[in-house]
Amino acid sequence: MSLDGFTAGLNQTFEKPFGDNFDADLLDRWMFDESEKHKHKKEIDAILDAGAFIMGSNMFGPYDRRDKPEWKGWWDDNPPYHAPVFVLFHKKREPIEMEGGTTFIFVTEGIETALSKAKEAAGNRDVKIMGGANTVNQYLAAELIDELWLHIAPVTIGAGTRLFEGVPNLNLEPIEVSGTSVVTHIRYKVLK
Amino acid sequence: MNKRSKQSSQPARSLKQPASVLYMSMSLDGYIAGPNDKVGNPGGDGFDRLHEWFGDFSRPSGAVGELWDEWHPPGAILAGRRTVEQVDHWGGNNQGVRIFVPSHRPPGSSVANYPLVKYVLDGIESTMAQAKAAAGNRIVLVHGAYTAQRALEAGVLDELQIHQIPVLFGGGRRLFDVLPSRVELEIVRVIDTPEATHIRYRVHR
Repeated sequence: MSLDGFTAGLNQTFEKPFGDNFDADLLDRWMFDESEKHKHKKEIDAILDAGAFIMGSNMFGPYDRRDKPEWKGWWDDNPPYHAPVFVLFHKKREPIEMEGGTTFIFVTEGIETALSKAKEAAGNRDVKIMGGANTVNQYLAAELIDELWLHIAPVTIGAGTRLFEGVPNLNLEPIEVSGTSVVTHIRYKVLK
Repeated sequence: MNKRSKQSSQPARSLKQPASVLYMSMSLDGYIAGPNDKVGNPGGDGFDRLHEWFGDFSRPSGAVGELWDEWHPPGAILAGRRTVEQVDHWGGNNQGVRIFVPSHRPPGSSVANYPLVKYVLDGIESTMAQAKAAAGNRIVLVHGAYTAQRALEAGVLDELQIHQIPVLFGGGRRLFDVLPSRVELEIVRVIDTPEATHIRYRVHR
């Protein structure tokens, strides 16, 4: 997230996956810069450490491609998840089995169904909600998130998809803080 | 408070002085004032929640105490007109330092009685230059969201000290609503407490 609360710019498309006026680099330097990424190994590993994942349809693919049978997500044949990924979708689609243990499973019955399916698939491991912002906001508003792992980048974007849009009053507790000059990692517990 | 107060793994860098610094308590969703911000309800509903970390206005212990020392007193204050008029210029005295107000209009009548208060009518750059000259080797404390945004736009705000409060407001007045589209910063210090995460940013030029 940028300091002013955005996770992506406006008008996301296939050509501009993060939208207008927006390089992924702005928010994710800590993950991809050679000089930075070794300092954040714990946080990077933690993102993908889960028994199942949930993502929104916009994270799975751009609006004009994600319904097409040949679209199998932004990733290569072997996506980094290595576990079931439940994709919130607006129409039925058969699961896609990828290499390396990742299966995209499309859920049309809403966020609560997706979460219960993911929890069942995850066993006693965590379920990670990967994004995008609209998906996280829906889960936060429904009070279905236990912890929020936030990575705040020192940049303002000015416009785009806002994390926390439409999420009502909520109290949290910072339980772990770390970072470098290009990111602050804060792990929050959502207080119920 | 500050049971868990400590520096983060990020090594503290010496903070260049004099610098102009905006100090602002902000909810995690970016609000610096709650809904219904108006006369008689300054800061809006729930405003106090953003300042609980401040405790009873005495100097906190630990790393937050060092932060407190930076602006008790500051070298000078640069504050927006709306901010100072709401408190009648702190009766003309805020910690005994000079107060500079950028404005397009001459001040109201009370300011004639306040030798420490100066209205500067020729822009934010000039206001900041005068405040820095008066500040000696201490910081210029910047007050007010609108004024901070204009100072950022004009390239005369050096640092932001954000007190990130672990609460979502869901409405109110945002710090970054009318900012120029992109400002790049660098994190120079993080102080981690249960009540707030204090993040110090330096503006890239």
